[in-house]
Amino acid sequence: MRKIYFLASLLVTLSGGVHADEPIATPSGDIVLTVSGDVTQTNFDNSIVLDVGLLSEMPSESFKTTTIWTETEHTFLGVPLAEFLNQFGGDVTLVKASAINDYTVEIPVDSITDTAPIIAYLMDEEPMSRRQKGPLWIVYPYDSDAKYRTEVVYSRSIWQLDRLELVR
Amino acid sequence: MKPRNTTPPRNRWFVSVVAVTILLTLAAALWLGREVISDLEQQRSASSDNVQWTLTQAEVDYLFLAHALEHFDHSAVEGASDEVEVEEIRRRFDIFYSRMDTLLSSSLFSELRTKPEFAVPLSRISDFLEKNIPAIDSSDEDLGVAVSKILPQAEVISPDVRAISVASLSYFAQLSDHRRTATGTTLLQLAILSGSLLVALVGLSIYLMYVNRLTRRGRDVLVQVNQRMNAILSTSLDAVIVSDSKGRVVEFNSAAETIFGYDHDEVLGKLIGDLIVPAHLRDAHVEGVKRMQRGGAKHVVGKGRVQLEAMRANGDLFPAELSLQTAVHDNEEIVIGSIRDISRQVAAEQELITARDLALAGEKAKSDFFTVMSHEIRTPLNGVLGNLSLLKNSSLSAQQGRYVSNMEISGQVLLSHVDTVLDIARFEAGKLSIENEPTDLSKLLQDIVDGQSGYAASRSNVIEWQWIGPHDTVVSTDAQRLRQILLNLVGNAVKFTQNGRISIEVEVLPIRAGMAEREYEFRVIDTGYGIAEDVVEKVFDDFQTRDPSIGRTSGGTGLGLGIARRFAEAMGGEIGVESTLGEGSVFWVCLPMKPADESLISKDDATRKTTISPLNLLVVEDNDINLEVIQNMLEIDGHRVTTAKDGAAGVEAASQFKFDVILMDISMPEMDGPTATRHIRSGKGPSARVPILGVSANVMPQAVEGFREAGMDAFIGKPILQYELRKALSTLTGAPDAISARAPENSQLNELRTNLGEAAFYRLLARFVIEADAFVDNYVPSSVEMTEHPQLALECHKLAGSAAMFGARDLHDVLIAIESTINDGGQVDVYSMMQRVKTVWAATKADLPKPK
Repeated sequence: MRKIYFLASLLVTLSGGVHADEPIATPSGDIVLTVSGDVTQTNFDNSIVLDVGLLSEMPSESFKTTTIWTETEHTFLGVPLAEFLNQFGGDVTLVKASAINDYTVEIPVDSITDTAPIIAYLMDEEPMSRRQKGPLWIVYPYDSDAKYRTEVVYSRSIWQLDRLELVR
Repeated sequence: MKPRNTTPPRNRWFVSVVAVTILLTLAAALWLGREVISDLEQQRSASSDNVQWTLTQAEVDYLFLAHALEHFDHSAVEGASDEVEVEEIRRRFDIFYSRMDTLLSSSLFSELRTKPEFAVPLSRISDFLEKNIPAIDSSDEDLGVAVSKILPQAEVISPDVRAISVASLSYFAQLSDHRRTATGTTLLQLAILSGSLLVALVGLSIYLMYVNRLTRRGRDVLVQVNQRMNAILSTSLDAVIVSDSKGRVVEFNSAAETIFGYDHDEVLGKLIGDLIVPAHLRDAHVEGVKRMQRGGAKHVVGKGRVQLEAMRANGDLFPAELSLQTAVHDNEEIVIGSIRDISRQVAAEQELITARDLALAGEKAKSDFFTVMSHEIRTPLNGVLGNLSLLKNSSLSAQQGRYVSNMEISGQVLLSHVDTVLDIARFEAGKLSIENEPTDLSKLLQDIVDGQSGYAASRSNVIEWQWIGPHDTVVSTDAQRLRQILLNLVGNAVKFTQNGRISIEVEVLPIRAGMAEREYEFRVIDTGYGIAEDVVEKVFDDFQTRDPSIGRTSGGTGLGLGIARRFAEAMGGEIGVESTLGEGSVFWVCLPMKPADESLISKDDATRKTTISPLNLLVVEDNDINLEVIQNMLEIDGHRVTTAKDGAAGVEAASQFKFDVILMDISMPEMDGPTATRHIRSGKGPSARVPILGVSANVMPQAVEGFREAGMDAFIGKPILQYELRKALSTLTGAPDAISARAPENSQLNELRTNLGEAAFYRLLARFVIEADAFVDNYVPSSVEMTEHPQLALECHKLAGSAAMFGARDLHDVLIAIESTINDGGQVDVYSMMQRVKTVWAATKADLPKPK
C-alpha cells in the first residue's frame, strides 16, 4: 500500500496537478494524513496527502501537558490545526477528523485557535507509534486552560488520526 | 453645630459580624452552586463520555482484531492470504493495543484498575498483547505463520474483554449513582444554605429597618433640637459667637451679624480676635486664648457678665457686656460667647447721670436763691426793725409811738413771710429737724391765746381754749413747731371770722392699734365763713388763698396751712379740716406725744433776765445801719463796743486787742466773715482764741455748718433780736466749754499717736515737718508778684490736710484760707496770709511733741 501512495503522489507531481501558489511537495515517506474536502490545492486524487517529513516542515507548536489518557506529563509537538486551514483550507466552517478505526469527530472552525489544537507528531521528542496512539494525535494544551478540560475537548482529542475533511 | 451621625460601637460590632456571616454564607453558596453546575455539566456530558466510548470500543476493537485473525486463518487455509490481510492484522492489533494501553495507563480508569474483576481480565489481555508483539512486528511471512497460534489465544481472552466491559459498566453506573447522590446532597446543602441566607438577610433587613427607624427618629429629634437651637440663636437679641479653642469662629448668629456688621459666611474659620476685639485689647485677648489652650486660669470664661469694649466691622468701638462659657464638642473645647451691645444702655445711664446732676444743680440753685433772698430781704429788714426798736426807746409823742408801733407790726409780718418761705425751703431741702423737749401744753396754748387775743379783738372775735377730758399737761414735743402750727391755724381762723368765736380744744385720744404713743388732738374751731366743699381738699396745698378777695385784703402768702401740714407730718401726725360754708370750720391736728417730766422744762429764754457782766466786744459789720443797730443794742446792755467796717479791719483789730467776744457779719465784700474768722484764728493776735459769734441773714443749715468750720463758735440770725443777742453772749461767755472746745490739738495728737504707735507717729510727724518746712521755703513769697504761683492753692490744700491730721489747726486754717482766697482771686491777701503761714508754722513747730 505504501507503494501505491508513492506512485500516486509521483503521478500527481509529474502531472503538475497542484494549482496552489506554493505547491505541496509530494510525500516521500509513508502517508500519515489525508486532507480532503474543501481544499485549495491537492497533491493526490483531490486530496492532500502528507508524510511525517512534510508535516515537520510546516510551522509547528509545542507544549507540555498531562492528558487523561496517559500517566505522566508529556511534551507534544505538532502542526496547529489552524495552519492546515490557512494553507489548504477554503471557506471552511467545520473540520471532520477521523482515526484509523473510523472514529470521527467534528471540530467547528470557530473553536480552533492559532495554537490549539495541534496535530502532534512528536511526544517527548519521539515519534509516536500506532500502539502509542500515534502516529498523529490531535492534542489540546489541557493544563493551560480549564476550557480544554471539558468532555467536548476530550472527545475531540482524537488519536491515531489519519484523515481530515474540511467542510464548507 | 451639625449633629454627627454616630453608630454606637456595639452596633458596629454587630453589623460587621452579620456582614461577615453573610459574606461567608454567600461564598459557600457560590461554591456549592459551582459544584452543582459542574456536577450537572458532568451528568449532562455523560452520554458523550469518552470512557463509555473507550469501553464499548474496546470490545469492538477486540472483535475487529479477532475477525482479522480469523479471516487470515481462513484465507491461509484456502491459500488466499495476502500482505494486505497481514497489514490489517497489524492495524487491528495496534488499535486494540492502544485501547488497552489507555485502560492500563489512563487516570480515568485508575479507580477501576483497583477492582480485581476489572484488573484481572485486563492483565490477561495485556499479557496476550505483550506476548504477541514480537510476532506482530515480525515479517509478513512469520506473522502469517504465527496467526494460527495467535488466534486461539485471542479467542481465550474474549471472555476477559467481555468481563472488563461489564465490570467497568457496572462501576461507572455506580459512579454515576454516587455522583447523582452527591449532587443531590449538594443541592440540598445549597437549598439549606440559601434558606439560612434568606433568613439571615430577612433578619438583617428587619434589624436595619429598626436601626434605620431609630436613626431617623434620633435624627428627627436632632433636627428639631437643631432647628430650635437655630431659632433661639437667630432670634436672640444678644450676639452669640462660638469659637474653637484656637479662637476660630464656628458659629455666628444673626444678632451677631447685626451688631458687628459681618456676614455669617465671611467670618467662619477666622480668628475672633481679629474680628471683634479692639486693637488695645487684642494682646490681652491673644494671651487669654493661649492661656486657655494651656489649660491655665480663665479670667473671663465662666465669670458671668463682664463689661468691655468691642469692635464692629467698620472699626467702631462700642461698650459691650460679654459672658463666656466653654463646652466640649467633638473632644475639643469650644467657647460660647454671648455679647450684648450696651451702648444705648450706657448712653441712657450717662443721660440719667447728667439729668441727676442737672437736677441737683437746680436744687442747689434754688437753695442758693432762697439763701440770697433771705439775705437780701432780711438785711434791710434788720435795719428797719433795728432802727424802729431804737426809735421806740427815744422820746416820742403818742402819735409817733403809734406809727412806730404800726411800722414794727408791718415789719414783723414781712419778716414772718420771709421766715415762712425759708421754712418751706428748709423743709424741701430735708433739713427740717424736729427737736422734742418737755413742753407745758397749757402754757403754750395760753401764750397763743394771749398773743392772738389783740388780733382777734381787732376783728371782734372772742378767742379761748380748753382741755377736753383727762390729760397730761406736760409732754415731750417740738414746741416751736407746734406753736407755729397752732399760730397758723388760729391766725387763719381769726382772719376768716368776724364777730365770732375761736375756740381751741385739746383732747388726749385713746391709744389706737399699732400706735406706740398717745395722740393729742388740737382742734381750732371758728364760727367764720367756712370753706366751700370744692376747695376744702386744697386748703393745705401751697399758695392757696381761700378767697382771692379776702386773701388779698387779709394779706397772706397762701403758705400758712401748707407749712402747718408739713410740720404736722414731720412730727408724725396728721392735719385736717371739716367745714360748712357759712357756719365755720374745724381744723384739727393729731400729734403723737409722750408725757414728760415737768421739772425738765427750761425757763422761757425770752423772759429770762440777763445778768451778763459788761463785755469788751468787737463788731465786724460792713453795713452801717446794721452796725449802728447792733452797737446800740449792745451799748444799751452796758457792753463796750469796737467796730470794724470790713473783714480785714476786723482781723487787724483782733490782732491788736484782746476782746471777750467778736461779732462777725458773714457777708462782707472783699473779705467775708468766715475768711476773717479764719485769719483771726490762724493769727497769733491776742484775740486769736476768743469766741466769735456769726451774724447773718443766711440761716440755712448748710451755711451755718460752713460758719462753724471757719472757726465761729455760735451764730445768730438777722434781724438781730435783743434777747437772742443776750442769750448768745451769755452762752458764749458763761460756758467755758465754748472756748476750750477750740483746742483739741493735744487730744487729737494723742489719739493719733495711740493709733499709729510711737515709731510710725514720729516718722509721719517728721515727714510733716519736712513737708511744711519745704512749703515755707518754696512758697512764702518775698513780694506780692510772687504769690501768683500756679501750684500754690494745691500745695496749700495738701499741707492743710497734713496739718489737720496732726492737729495743727491754726496752720490748717490759714492754709485753707489761702486756698479759698486764691480760688476767689485775691492776690494781695494771699501775700500777707502767706507771711502769716511762716509765723504760724514756726509756732506750731515749736509746740509739736518731740520723740523721747
